[in-house]
Amino acid sequence: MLIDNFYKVLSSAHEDNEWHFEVVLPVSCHIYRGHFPEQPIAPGVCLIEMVRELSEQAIGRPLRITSITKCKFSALLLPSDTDVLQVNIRLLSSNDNEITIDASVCKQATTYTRMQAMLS
Amino acid sequence: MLTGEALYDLIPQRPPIVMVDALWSVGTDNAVTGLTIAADNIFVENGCLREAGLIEHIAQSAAAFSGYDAFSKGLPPRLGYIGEIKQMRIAGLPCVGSRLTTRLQVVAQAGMVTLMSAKVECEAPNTEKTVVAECQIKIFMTE
Repeated sequence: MLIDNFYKVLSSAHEDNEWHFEVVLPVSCHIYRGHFPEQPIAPGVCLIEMVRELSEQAIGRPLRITSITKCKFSALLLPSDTDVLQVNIRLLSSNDNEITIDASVCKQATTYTRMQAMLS
Repeated sequence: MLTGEALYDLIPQRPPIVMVDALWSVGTDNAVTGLTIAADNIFVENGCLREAGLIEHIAQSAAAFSGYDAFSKGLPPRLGYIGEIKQMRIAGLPCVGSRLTTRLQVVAQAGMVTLMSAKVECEAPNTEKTVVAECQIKIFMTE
């Protein structure tokens, strides 16, 4: 994990081309000292990094983001030791050196982030 | 023009997540910012700045651009959030010691929402400048 203690995976499941992870974002993560000093808010880029790392875990090899078609942040995400988030990663296409994914970070009906990206 | 901790007057982020260390120029609808990649940067892995660090650098460059306007009016920096990233291409991950130079151009602005285009060039020691990332980024500012 690049940002130490940014997320903790509680469970994971996989069927066909979809992976589902349940995670929490611990409030004790040191990133919140600076983002922001008076109001901890999960940095959107850390969610992107979390999706990249979980994609590596799903696919089973190192992956680098080569393009982001679109990544939308719809709601502010506050860290919490108890709120369980769902990270959904759907593999849209894959060949020897590049994959395309559609990923989202949600809590029940709320979608915080949705991203379509290519990784290699 | 403004470097190092002087940028703290323009952006709300603080260590360990400060990802911009220079504001080279500001126009009415454009800005040029910089970042030298330190070995202890939290987004550095195996000697290179990961994608998240590049994107955060772009977002904070936009924050510095907006913050400069507030600063010149004697106001503190406001919190801004990434609303959307589009058409992003990442050609490579810059290594520790390289210098990023980022050109921002306002594409559209409405109320508290600003859409900007960004181009990040990287200059590593003893190599030519290359474009490492390009994107469009939408920033939401708070009141």
